[in-house]
Amino acid sequence: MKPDIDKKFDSLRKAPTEFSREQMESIIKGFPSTPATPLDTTNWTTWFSLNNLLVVGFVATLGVGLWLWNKAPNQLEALIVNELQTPTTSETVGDSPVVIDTELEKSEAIISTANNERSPDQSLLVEKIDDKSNTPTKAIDHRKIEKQKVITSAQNSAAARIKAEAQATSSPEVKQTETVLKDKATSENKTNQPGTLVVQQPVKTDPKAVPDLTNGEMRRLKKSLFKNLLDDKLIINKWKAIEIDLPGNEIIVNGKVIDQSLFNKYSLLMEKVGWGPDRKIKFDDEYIKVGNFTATGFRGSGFGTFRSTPKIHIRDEGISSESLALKREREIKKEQRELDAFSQTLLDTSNGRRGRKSIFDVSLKQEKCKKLHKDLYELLLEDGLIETKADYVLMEISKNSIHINVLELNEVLYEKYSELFNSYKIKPGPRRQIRMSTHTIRVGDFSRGSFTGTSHILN
Amino acid sequence: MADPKQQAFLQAYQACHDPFVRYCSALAYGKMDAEDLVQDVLLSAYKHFEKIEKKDQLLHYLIRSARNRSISNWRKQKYKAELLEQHTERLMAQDLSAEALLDIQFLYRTLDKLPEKQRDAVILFEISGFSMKEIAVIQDSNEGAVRTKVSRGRQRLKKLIENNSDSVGSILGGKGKMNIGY
Repeated sequence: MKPDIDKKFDSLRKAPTEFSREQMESIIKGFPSTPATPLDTTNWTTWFSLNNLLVVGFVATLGVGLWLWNKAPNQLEALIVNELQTPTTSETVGDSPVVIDTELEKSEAIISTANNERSPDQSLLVEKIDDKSNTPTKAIDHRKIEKQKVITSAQNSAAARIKAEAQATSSPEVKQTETVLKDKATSENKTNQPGTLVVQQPVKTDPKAVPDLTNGEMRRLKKSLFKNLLDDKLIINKWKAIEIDLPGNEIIVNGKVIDQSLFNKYSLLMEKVGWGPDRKIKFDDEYIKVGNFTATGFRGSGFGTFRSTPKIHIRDEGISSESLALKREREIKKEQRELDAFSQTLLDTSNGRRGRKSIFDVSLKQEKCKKLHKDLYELLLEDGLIETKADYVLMEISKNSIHINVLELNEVLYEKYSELFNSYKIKPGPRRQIRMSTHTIRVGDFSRGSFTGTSHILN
Repeated sequence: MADPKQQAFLQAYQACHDPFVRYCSALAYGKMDAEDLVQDVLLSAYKHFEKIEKKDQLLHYLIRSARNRSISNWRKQKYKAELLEQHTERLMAQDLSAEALLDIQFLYRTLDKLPEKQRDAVILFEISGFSMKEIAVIQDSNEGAVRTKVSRGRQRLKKLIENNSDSVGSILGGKGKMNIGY
């Protein structure tokens, strides 16, 4: 017989409950009655819940953080902007238009005025103004300011003083030490207008005193010199070394005395360099040296990567050392071109050895290059493979053979030269070559139009 | 003089007593003290009585509360002998016959073997006497789903009861044979 589930449920439903209604009522009556003093919602102590404290604390921290973050830079920013908001002008000196970064000059004028008085702490602020003035239109880099953000009230007052001094440059006291460099006609007809550039006349500096320029000042000096020299067509491009002599009464650029009409402009640009019989500025695109260049050496300030120019035996022909250097450079280049043409002709006429460039480049130090050049020429002459040291040499160093000027060496010579190359750690390769001329040597992998390896120019 | 809140709560509870206590008994059977469960749920409901907007829906609140409190005990705990004895004593105190008591306990044990949702739906429908619609509201489900759960629960329960009857019968028969044999 199948059990009837409904019957079971019926019996369950009909059965009395486990707890009677009276029991439940007594339980409920035992519950505590309504609290006599309900929580007052206006009670301020209820605000101090953990949630409220966390939220308020977080918001307050965020607010204070943002305020601190913005406040200090803004003060400095306002000061800098104030400095830069004075009108900028381009001035005409003589007949030629002067292209001067007036903001730069103004900031330099501010610095020069403040130089005598500023303390180490104050110099920080001046440096900042200096840096900013170089790029007045750029957005102010907050992070940069943040790095140098220790600004005391003393510094602020110093800045205010510097600013005041900068504004008062046209005052009679200042004019005693500074004069307005303007064309005579201009100065006669015009009065000083707001924003007119007031600059220092070349100071009669002690010739023995070494100019002390900061890196920033030297960088800006180089930049403005390049700009003006190019504009005035005193140089053709930036890639050649430039030498400016500042004896005092004239300015000599690369041995050429500049026109009197440009004198004022350049004396203005180089006012911090000073004057003297040995005072010079030497610079190219990679470096600048400012100071006294004497027979004993150089004393002054430098910035950038200096390149040592090869020693040149200057013959007293009235030609400057720079001209000789240029001449020599041209000669070397010509020699290399001729050597390349010679090598290419030989390679074109021979059965070209093809292959890929070696993974490892040849890297030889200068001394080893010189020694290799000497050793090879001696051996080649000894073996009768060349006639004179003036001959061009093309050596192809492949795995199983060595060709000199496309002539393959016999076994004996092969061993001899292989041993030499091994001593210099020059490995053979399908495109490995040595190209030599009297003043040059190149060791590495050559392909049409490209070379990877070591090149050296001998004196 | 009774507290007005207590009065109101008692009044609202009157309609809930039978289904609520039966539900709690079914949930707690053998695993937890039904009295504790009932008291906890009632106290909780009493505390939050002001917040219950529709006082006529107190039963739904009680059922949900009881289910939530017992849910962790359903599958984890084994039957406790003292709780079973307690249950028996309480029902016997209500003048319930021994046969009906056995049926009820057997039904509770079999219900405990159903899946949780089916079990809940079957208890609410068959024991507490809720309608399908009310169960759907309590379970946050729809009427069709509740109907399905109840139907499947019943079928499964039927099978379980049949199997249990067979096994009980065979065991008893075996024993009898054995007894006879010896």
